[in-house]
Formats: sequence, C-alpha cells, structure tokens
Amino acid sequence: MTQPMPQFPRPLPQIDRDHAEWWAGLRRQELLVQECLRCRKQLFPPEPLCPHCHSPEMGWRRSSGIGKVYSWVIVRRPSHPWFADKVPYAVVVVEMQEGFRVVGSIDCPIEKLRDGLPVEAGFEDVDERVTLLRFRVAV
Amino acid sequence: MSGSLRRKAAIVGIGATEFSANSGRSERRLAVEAVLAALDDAGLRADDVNGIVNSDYDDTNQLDVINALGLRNIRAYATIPHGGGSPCGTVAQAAMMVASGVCSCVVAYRSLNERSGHRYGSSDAVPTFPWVYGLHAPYGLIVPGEWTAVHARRRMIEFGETREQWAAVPVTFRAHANRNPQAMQYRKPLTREEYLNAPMLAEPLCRYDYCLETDGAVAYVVTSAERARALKSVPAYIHAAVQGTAFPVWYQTNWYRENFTTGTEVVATAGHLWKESGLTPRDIDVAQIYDHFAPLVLTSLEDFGFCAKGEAGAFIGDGRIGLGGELPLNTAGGLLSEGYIHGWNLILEGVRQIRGTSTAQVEDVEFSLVTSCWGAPTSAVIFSR
Repeated sequence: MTQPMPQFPRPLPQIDRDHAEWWAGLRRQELLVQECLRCRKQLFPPEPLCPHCHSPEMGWRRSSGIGKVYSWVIVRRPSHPWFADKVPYAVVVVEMQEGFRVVGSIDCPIEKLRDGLPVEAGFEDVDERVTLLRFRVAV
Repeated sequence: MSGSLRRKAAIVGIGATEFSANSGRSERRLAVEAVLAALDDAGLRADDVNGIVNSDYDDTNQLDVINALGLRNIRAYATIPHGGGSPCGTVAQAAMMVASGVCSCVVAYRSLNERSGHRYGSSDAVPTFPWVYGLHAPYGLIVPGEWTAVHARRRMIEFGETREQWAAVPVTFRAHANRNPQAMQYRKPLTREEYLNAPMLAEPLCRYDYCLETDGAVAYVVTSAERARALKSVPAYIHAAVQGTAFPVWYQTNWYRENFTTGTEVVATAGHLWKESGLTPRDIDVAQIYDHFAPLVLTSLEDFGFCAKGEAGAFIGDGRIGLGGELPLNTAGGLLSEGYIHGWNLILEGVRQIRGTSTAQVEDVEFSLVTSCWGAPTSAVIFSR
C-alpha cells in the first residue's frame, strides 16, 4: 500500500522587472544576454543600468546557445522537498561562447560530466510562465 | 597615521553560552546571557554600555537586548550587513564608535538556534526565489553547500587539487576541537580515513567539509585602549579592523564573474588589512579563518596572501596549520568543529589567543588574525597584545 506523496511545488523564480526580458527570452526559446547600447559591454545577470558607463539604455543580444561546462555539482542529498526523488542530479555552470555564464540542468549521465564538455542550450517549459534552461551534450 | 583605528580600542570582555544542538531557550535569552557573560568578564555593568552592534542575520532585535538588560544609556547602535561577511565588520564598527569618542563601551552579540530552529542548510518549500536566486534555485542549486561545491570543483580542475589535500582542514580543526570542552565535537575525533570515506552530500563535498549547525550565542565588549588598561582582563587591542568588497559580488553564488578560485572581495579586504595594520602575513602568529566550508579555507589563505594562488593544497600539508605548526588555524575547532555562531565564535578565539587562555594556546602570540566569510562583502581583524 503506498502513501500519497506530499506535493511540493518546484522552486521557481520571482521574475522582477530587471530580469523580466531575460525570462521572456527563454519562453521564446532564446538565451539572451544583456548588452549596454552605449559601451557595448555584455552583462549577466541583468542590471538596471550599465555598471561600466552608467547608461540606462540597455538592450539584449541573442546567444548562440553554444557553450562548455565550466563547473558542476552532483547533489546526492536533497535540500528542498521537490528534489527528494530527483537525487542524484547534476547542476552545471556553462560558459557560453559569448563569454557569459549561466546555470542550468543537463541531459547527461553524471559520470560523463567533465570540464570543457561542449553543450548546447535547450529549453524546458515548467508552467505557463517559466521556461528553464536544460543543456544537452553537443555532438 | 590619520584616520587609522590602530590600537585605539580593545576587546575587554568575551562571553558565550554553551554550543548545542538544542538550546531549549529563545535566541533572545541566549543573546542576553552572552552579553551579560561578556560584561562580567570585562568587569563592567549594564549601565556602562552606551553602544550596541549586531549582524543583519540576527533575529534578536537590539530593542529586545535593551529591554531585557535595562540598557538606559545607549546613544549609538548599528547593524552590519552581509551575514557571514559581517562578524569582523562589527569589530570595526565598535572600534569606530569608540575611537570617534561617541561611545565609551560597546557590546556586540550574535545569537541563533541554527540547529533546533531555522537551519541555513535546508530550504523550506518556498514556492518562489527572488533576485539572482531565481537564476539557479529552480535547477536545485539552493543552499550554501550546493553553491560551494561548484566553486570547490574549480579548485580541482584548475589546480589538480584533491580531497586528500582538503582533509588537512577538517582533521586539523577537529583535533583542535578535541582539546576544547566548549566545542560541539569535543569528544569526537575525526580521522583522514573517515573524511575520505564519508558519503558525498553535494559532490565534491561531504559532511565534514560543512560547518556545524549550532544553537548558541556569543558577545564581546569594546572600550577605549586607555580604559582597557584599567580593567581586570588582558586587553586584545584592535590593531586593524577592516571591511571590503569588490564588484561584482553575490552571496556565495559568484559564478558570473571572472573566475571561481579568487574572491576579489577577499583580496580587497586583505589589501585594506595589511595596509591598515602595517603588517604582512608573515607577522601573523595564529589565525581563525572563516570555515563555512573546508575548501574555502584554502581559497581564503591564498586571497589573504599566505601563499600563492593554487598553492594552498600544498601549504596546509605537513602540519603547518596545526598546533605547533608555522601557522596554527582555528584553534578552538572553528565553525567546522567548535560550533557555528555565524563566524562570531572565531572572534572570541582570536581574543583568547592574545590573552593566553585558548585550549590550544600558541606560544608568545603577538598578532592574532580573524577573518569573516569568503564569497560575500567581508571583513577581517588583527588583534595585538
């Protein structure tokens, strides 16, 4: 006889105004990086204005979605109830071809993870509002 | 040197509750017990206190301490931000309050039921995460151990570092705790083999890489150097106390900046520290390095200039960081083995090393260093005798 599992929602982002466009990009299956329209420096995470030249005119550039694994963790003891039946799982930090880094999950056996593993961005809709990054190994 | 705090103030009282897994009393109660113990240690009374300082993460409102102790003469108060980065910053703040002449006697406290109450290493089932936390929490990168594992992995990648090298940190600190009856791990020895065979929690970290979870409180009392000489305790002069940060910086989730293996905020803090103190790492006789996670002790040693970048794995070997070594570290057991009062218990041990009252006393200590956490806007203090 099985007990019904308690239902815990997946942790999700509170999407604030400074991050809204980035999340909207993921929804369209686009990985965006913020770019200052004056000094052209790129920024991630998004900031309300450019920390280099203080211009408030900020735009967005679409990333190639191609990158390499820079570091990772294999979580074996869950810290949040939603992940209790997901362990062990990996979370990767990926350095994109454009030079910025993002966090995501990855479709890859944990023992195959290595520094510099080539990956490409995939997109996973988790509800009507949020799309998350899910990398796959590039072939 | 104009504007310098050097030896203008001293810690003249230290106090602590027991460190346990379940205090059985409120954080408020623990805070006032620690403050009273620190005042008693200094030979001062509640009416002498005219300044109060704590940390932003503390849930005990200063007002509760004022009410519980009947503090009627408070004329300056401050709360220092950035969690584990704040402890030595509270010493800097208290020293400034005294050196400016605004206050003659400042108490500072940190109190938490971090094991029986809110545990920083587990997440409540909160539905949404704000700010940059929203960029990683949905993937399961939620608590400090998971974040730190990502940083620690880069040490292995860039420097070829191994867990065999990291073992020196938890095993040495545990040996120090085994001499300290106040330590949570006093009666629990730890061998290299136990460390190396421990199951992974957030790989490459095991439980012995993590700081403890502790119920308890500590407090200290600062007064002017002049007044300190008239009191009953041996003064621990605040030789230098600094805060520092860098840009960009987040709370232990610094994977968007140039690299993972240098804490630019720590390098900046160290720069202020050596300049203000007129000292170099070679002058330090004993140090309490903030040990929320064992591999970050290695990164901190490099960022404070005790060894070159990437060389801490070798530096901490051969007994250098143990009692009798060239640079004994975390002589009460640290956050890994004495208790986790969010870095504040390191301040008390830094003072005891100046007084000559540590349970792992280093001989002839002239300069005693304490640091606050790697990976956030942080702080450091050097005590002198």
